[in-house]
Amino acid sequence: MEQLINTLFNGISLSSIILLTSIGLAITFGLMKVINMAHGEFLMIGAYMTFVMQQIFVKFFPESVRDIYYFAAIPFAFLVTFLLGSLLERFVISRLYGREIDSLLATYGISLILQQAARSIFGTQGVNVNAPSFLNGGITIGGCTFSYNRLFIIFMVALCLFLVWLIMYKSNFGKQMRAVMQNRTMAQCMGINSRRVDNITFSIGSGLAGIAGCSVALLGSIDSTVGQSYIVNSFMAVVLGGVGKLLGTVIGSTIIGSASIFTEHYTSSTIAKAIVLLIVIVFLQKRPQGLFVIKSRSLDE
Amino acid sequence: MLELKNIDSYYGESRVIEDLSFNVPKGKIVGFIGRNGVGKSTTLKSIMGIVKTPSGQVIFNGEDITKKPVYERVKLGIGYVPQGRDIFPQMTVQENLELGLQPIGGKGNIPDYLFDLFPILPKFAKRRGGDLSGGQQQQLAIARALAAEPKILILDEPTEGIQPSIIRDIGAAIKKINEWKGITVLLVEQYLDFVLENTDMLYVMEKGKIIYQNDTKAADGAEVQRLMTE
Repeated sequence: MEQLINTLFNGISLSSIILLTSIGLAITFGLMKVINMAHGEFLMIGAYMTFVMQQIFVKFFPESVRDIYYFAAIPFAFLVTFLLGSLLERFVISRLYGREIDSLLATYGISLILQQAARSIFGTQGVNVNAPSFLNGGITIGGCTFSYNRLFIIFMVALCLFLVWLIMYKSNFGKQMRAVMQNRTMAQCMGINSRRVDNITFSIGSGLAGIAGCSVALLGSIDSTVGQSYIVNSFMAVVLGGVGKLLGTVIGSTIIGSASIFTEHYTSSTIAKAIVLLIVIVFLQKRPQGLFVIKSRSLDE
Repeated sequence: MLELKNIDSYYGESRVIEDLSFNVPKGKIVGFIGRNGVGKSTTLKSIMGIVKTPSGQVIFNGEDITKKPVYERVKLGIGYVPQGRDIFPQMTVQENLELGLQPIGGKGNIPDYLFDLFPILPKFAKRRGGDLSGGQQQQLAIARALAAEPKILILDEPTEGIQPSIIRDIGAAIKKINEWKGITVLLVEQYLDFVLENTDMLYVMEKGKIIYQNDTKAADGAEVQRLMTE
């Protein structure tokens, strides 16, 4: 029983990281029909930025305040990936709208460039981030241990999710974004600059992947391919959840994350990947549009 | 108020509009009538900037807007109701109306008189736009285009697929906003009676060209009908 709860807990914490990367992918795909293969690299950059921030604190700050480096790393990672996302959208993606295959290839190329850049700057060996001391240890309830860093990740993702929800459903920008998602031409006819909406949305998605990178940094060593190991799951979560609905992405990520951890626990990590992929394939045979299908009178007509 | 000068427009590879020029005077309700596929909708899309116009000029309020993107044209005071309404299906009626405020920065309130014109809207404020009937969507689309109080309202076949009683309401609403607010209206129609009843001026279009124009009062309905069916 304890083992089951522990596995479930690990599943949820993995799901939450997948969720952060999936949101960006889902919005980008829903809004611009662009499959961004370089999205995982934003996670990698976010993780490296956490490392960079830690180095800065080690060099320039007294030991007593070093632990707060992590709180500086989160906005820093967000900002860097947000800006890089904005540049990528402006100079590459925006020129490839409506050309899915081209954008797939171009972003794959960018993904390789970014990985190589990371190797050139930080070396081929993985680097490690020391979790702040207050995140060491955990709470033990019954026989189950809930580590602080995983709890912290879940909390951080919940906070990010809440902020994304606020932006999407409570702000004027969110209204513009949803309008562009649902009908680009008509949104322009409402006076909305859809190019600007695309750019900001893409940047927010990239920034969230950067924050996901911060959380990944707490869990293990960071190298240039760290993004790749999460991105496949994130793609599956988006496909499973259906495009254009935040809730779909949340549920898709939870299913993929938990299924991965559970199957991994009872088999091996390679078999687990195959099983999860199989589940997704079988599911999509039954519901090709994913869990949440956008349905309405005007779309049916 | 709105002037098109020697406009050419293409639908894919084929030229739909050729050397089209016409004028919409300020404060008038102007009808644009013609059969299916003569280029009426493309004309409106050219005004909005949704389709490209490789040659010619679109002049609005003395300003050449030919090179401006769609959203900037809208901000200058052009309200547009497309064919098929294009309501945002997953947003509520209220949110659809609020989107109408985007040309003025998304701030301010939806003018009260719109709810007097279309009393159905406050009743259905919380419903999703996609769940409304065709007639209700049309009323919502018109109200949405009027929320930011544009200088000109452009309507693409507002009576298409709508029951007669609501067509009457829509005609009355168009006349009222023209009277009350002095908003100029340009509407495209196939339904001649609606144009004869509700406009000040009409153009008949055929194969991308204007073949007839007159004040509606002076126009001979039978002749217009003949031109349309020939």
